[in-house]
Amino acid sequence: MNILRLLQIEYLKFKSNSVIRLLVILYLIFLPIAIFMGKELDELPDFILSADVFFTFPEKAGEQGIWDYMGYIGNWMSYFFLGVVAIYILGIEINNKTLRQSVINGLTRKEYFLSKLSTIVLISVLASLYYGLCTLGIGWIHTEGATLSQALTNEWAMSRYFLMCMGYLSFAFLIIVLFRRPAVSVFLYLSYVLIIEFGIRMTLIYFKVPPEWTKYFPMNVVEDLHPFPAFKIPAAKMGPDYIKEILLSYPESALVSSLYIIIFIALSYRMFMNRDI
Amino acid sequence: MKVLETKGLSKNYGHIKALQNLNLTINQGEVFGILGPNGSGKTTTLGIILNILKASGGQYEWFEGQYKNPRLRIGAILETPNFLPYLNAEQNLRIVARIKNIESQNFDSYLDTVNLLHRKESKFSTYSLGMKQRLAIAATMIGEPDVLIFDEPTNGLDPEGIAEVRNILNNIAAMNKTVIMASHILAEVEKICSHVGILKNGTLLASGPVGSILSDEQIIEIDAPGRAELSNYLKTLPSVLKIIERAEFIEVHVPQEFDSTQLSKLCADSNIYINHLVIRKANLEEEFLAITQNAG
Repeated sequence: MNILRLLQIEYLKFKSNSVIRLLVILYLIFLPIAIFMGKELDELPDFILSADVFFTFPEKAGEQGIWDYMGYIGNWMSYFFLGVVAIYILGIEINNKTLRQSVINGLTRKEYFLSKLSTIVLISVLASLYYGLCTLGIGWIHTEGATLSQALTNEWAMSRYFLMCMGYLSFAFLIIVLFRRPAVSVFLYLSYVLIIEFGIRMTLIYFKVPPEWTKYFPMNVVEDLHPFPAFKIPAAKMGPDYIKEILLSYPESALVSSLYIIIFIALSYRMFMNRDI
Repeated sequence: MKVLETKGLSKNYGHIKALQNLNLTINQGEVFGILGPNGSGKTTTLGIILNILKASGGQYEWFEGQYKNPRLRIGAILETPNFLPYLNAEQNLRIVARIKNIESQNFDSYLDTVNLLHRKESKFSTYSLGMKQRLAIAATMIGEPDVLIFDEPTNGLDPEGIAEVRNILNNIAAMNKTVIMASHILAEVEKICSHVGILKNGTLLASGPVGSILSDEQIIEIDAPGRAELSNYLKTLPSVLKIIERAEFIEVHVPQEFDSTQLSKLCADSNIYINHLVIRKANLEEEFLAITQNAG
C-alpha cells in the first residue's frame, strides 16, 4: 500500500473538478481577506481597545492578537468550505458509482478508505500551513518592529488549527459515510454544527444538566480550538468564571478533539468496511 | 486452472433471498454466461465476487488463492458504466490505470478498439449510452487482465449499439481470455459463450458447457396436407421421443443418431406427402424455458 499512489488517484479524480476548485478558492480568498473587515468597523465592543489587535502579533503569550483572530476566521472558513469538500469527495463518487468501480478496478476497501483519509489529512495540513503563512504575512506588515520570536508566539496555533480542520473534516466524512447522500449530508453537517448541537446542549441545560458538562459536545470542543478570543479579554470586562464556563482550555480542547477525531475515523472505517457499496 | 470457485454463496436482503447456496466453478479460458431472468441473482453474484456486496454466507476464491489482490487481474463492469462525468475518456482511463498500478501510458489503442478515439477529449457526460458502455469495455481491458466480467453489456442500447458491443465482445472472446458475462438475452449467451449457468430466484438450476445444457436431440418440424394422418403415423415410429402439435407444423423430437432424411421417404411410403420439413438442433431458449419452468 502506497499512500502517495492513493493521493495521486485522488488528484487525478479531482484536479479539474469545478466544485472543489470553487470551495478551495473561496477558502484561499476569504481567509486572508475577512480579517480586513476589522478595519471597516466603525464601533468596536468596549472590551476591544483598538482594531490593531486584529492585525498584530501579541506582545507576550496569553494576550490576544492576529493568531487568534485569523484562527477564529479560519474556524468558520474550514467548517464551511473544507467540511463541504470532505463530504463532496466521497459523495460525488457514491452518486456516480465510481466508489464501487474503484473497488471493482482493484483498490481494496481499505485502500479506498485510506485514499479519502489521506486526502482529508493533506487538506488539513495545507489549510493550516496557509493559515500560518497568511497570519505571519499580515502580522508582519502590521506589527511595528516585529521580531521572529514575537511573530511565533502563538501557543501552538497552527497545530490547533490542524486539529480543528481534522475535527470538522472527519466529522463531515463520517456523516457522508453514514447517510450516503451528498445533499442530505451537507445539510445535516452544516446544521448540526450551527444549530442542532447547540439546541441539544441548551435542552440539556434546561433539564438541569450542568453547563460545564455540555462543553464536551464534539463540535463545541473542536470550535474551542480557535474560539473567539473572549477569554483573553481583561478579566475586568468579563469575569474569568464566565469564560471558564463557556470555553475549554487549549490543552483540554486539543486532547478531547483528538479523541473525537479518532472516534469519527474509526466509526467511518468500520461502517465503510462492512457495508455494501 | 480454476479461475473462480464459489462454495455455498448466499445473499439475503432482509427476508428476500437474492442468492442461495451458489456453487460454481469457472475454469481458465471459458466464456461463461450467467443466464437468468431479471431478479434471478446475476448481478448479486457478480457484486459479491467483486467485493462490492458482502455475502450473507459461503465463500469464493479467485485464481485458486494465488494472488493477494485478485481484482487487479480482473476487468469488470457491473450494471452501468461508472465514470466521473466531468472528466474525458482519457482522464477516466488514466484513473483506472493508476488503480491497477500501471504507469501512465497511451490509451489510444484501447479507445480505438471500441471506436471512441475520435471522442477521447470529450467529457464522459456528453457520451451516448452506447459510447459510455464502449468506454467501460475499453476500461476493462486496461492492464491486460486475465478475466473480464460483463453485466448485461447490451442493456438499454439501440440496435446499432447492440451490434457494436456484440462485435467487440466476440473479438474479446476470441482472444482466449476468461470471460464471465451475465445476461438475460439468450441469443447473446448462445452466440458468445462456451459455458453457461442458469439462475432463477437466486438458485443455480444448471451449469456446464453450452453443448451439454442443450440436449442432443434433433428437432424436426414437419407438416403435410393431412395433419391428423401424419400425426398418427409419427406416433407409430419407435424412434420418436416426443411430438408437439404447433399451429404451423408438428414438432418431432428424435435421438441425435436418427436419420432424418429417411423421414420423408417413410411418410411417402405410407402415402403421406409432406410439404414442410426443417431439421434443427434444440436452441438455448427452449432449454432455458424448459429448465426454468420445471423449477417452478
